[in-house]
Amino acid sequence: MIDLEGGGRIFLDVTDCQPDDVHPGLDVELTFRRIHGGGGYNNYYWKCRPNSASTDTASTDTASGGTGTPIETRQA
Amino acid sequence: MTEPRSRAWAARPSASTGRPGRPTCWPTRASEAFADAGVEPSDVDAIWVGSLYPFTGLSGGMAVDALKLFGKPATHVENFCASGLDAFRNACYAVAAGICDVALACGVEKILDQSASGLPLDVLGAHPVMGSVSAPAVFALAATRAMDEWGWTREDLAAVAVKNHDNGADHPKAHFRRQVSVDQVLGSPCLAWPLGRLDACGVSDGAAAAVITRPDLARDLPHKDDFPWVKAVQLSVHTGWPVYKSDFDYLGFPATRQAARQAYEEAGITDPRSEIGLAEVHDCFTITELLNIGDLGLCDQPEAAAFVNDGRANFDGEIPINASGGLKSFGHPIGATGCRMIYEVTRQLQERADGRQVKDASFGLAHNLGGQGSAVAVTILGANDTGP
Repeated sequence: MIDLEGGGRIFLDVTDCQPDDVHPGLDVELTFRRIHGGGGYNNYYWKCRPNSASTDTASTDTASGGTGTPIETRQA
Repeated sequence: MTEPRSRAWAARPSASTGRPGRPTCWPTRASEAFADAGVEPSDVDAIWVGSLYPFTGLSGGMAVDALKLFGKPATHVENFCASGLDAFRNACYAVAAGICDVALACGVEKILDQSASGLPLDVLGAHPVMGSVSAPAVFALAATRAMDEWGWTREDLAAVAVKNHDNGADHPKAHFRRQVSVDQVLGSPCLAWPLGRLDACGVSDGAAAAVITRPDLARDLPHKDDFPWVKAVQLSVHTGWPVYKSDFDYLGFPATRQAARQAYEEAGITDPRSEIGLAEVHDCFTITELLNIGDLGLCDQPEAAAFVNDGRANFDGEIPINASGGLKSFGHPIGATGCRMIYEVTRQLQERADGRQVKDASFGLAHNLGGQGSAVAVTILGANDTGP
């Protein structure tokens, strides 16, 4: 579960890290990913990942993430 | 609200795998309740039945058809996992208001032939791409939070499962009557870390029923000397989606604290830790029981793991928690669970428990936590000698 900057919460998969990296209070940012696909169609949704080292968290299409309690990475 | 209170007795739980179609054990449970209460089915003035899933049944029609009480006023109550205690609450109000002389509160659920490997998730409002967050996932977050905040361990959670299965092994009506060890709990397949399969209650079919009436009528019935009193029936619905509120910290559930506060006030209980003789709490997951103990004010929240580990929650401990075996041993036929707890608390207070008997209890508490902590019901029954 992620607390978003500016308010609101969302359940998201955590990605681009190892399970042991995930803990309450982890700083994360949103990232838009392909979740699954089939029959020539792909379905996309957000995931989150540990904040990249860059201090520039502005992104062209998604809001920055905040700290929160990340959920377990879902098995594909 | 003041006395006189109505009372409840003769609830009959069962956990059985039925055949597809109409719940099959419910009519038997109701018959047993009527027989124990000393009333005829035709004496029932109104029925409340708690169940969650549409495939279990719809409308009061599910009650009159199953119980062959055609034409009776019958209401289907749904409040997530608090459906059973909420059905009981409504039935108690009808009797206390003088509208009904005799009311039937029951709960039922039939899940096992739905071919879902856990709880069918459609009730959680699935996102078309993301899907639903499962029940284990939601409570797993509470577990990781508690581990981070208070240093609770998987072994602490496992202690709850060991205790409850130990209690349930002695209960003839439990679904799962096998003890488990800490190693078995820790080694069970992972559902949502840190919760493994044995951290979770089972999916079960079942039904339970309770007959409620007024004191003056009860005094002419078989249980005239040992009927329990309904001391408090409280419900608190926090929000449909507690975990999305930005002030929800996963370290307990506000709805439980509120319902408990209201219940203790209604029952005139000023010191739950010394006055509550036993508690059936909603152990859908091991972590949930631990958080419940604190939320119900039975110990300080961070101490709940120690409370269980020290044996204080054992059936012969300071405050027996789930002496029946709880949802862990009975499984969770969702609508039925609340009424099963009424059954258990009733029989404990009457000193005729089927399984392990708790000694010298004056007040028994039953607690359901519905959804993600959305709807919480807390009911308190008092032994016969606690009446006015």
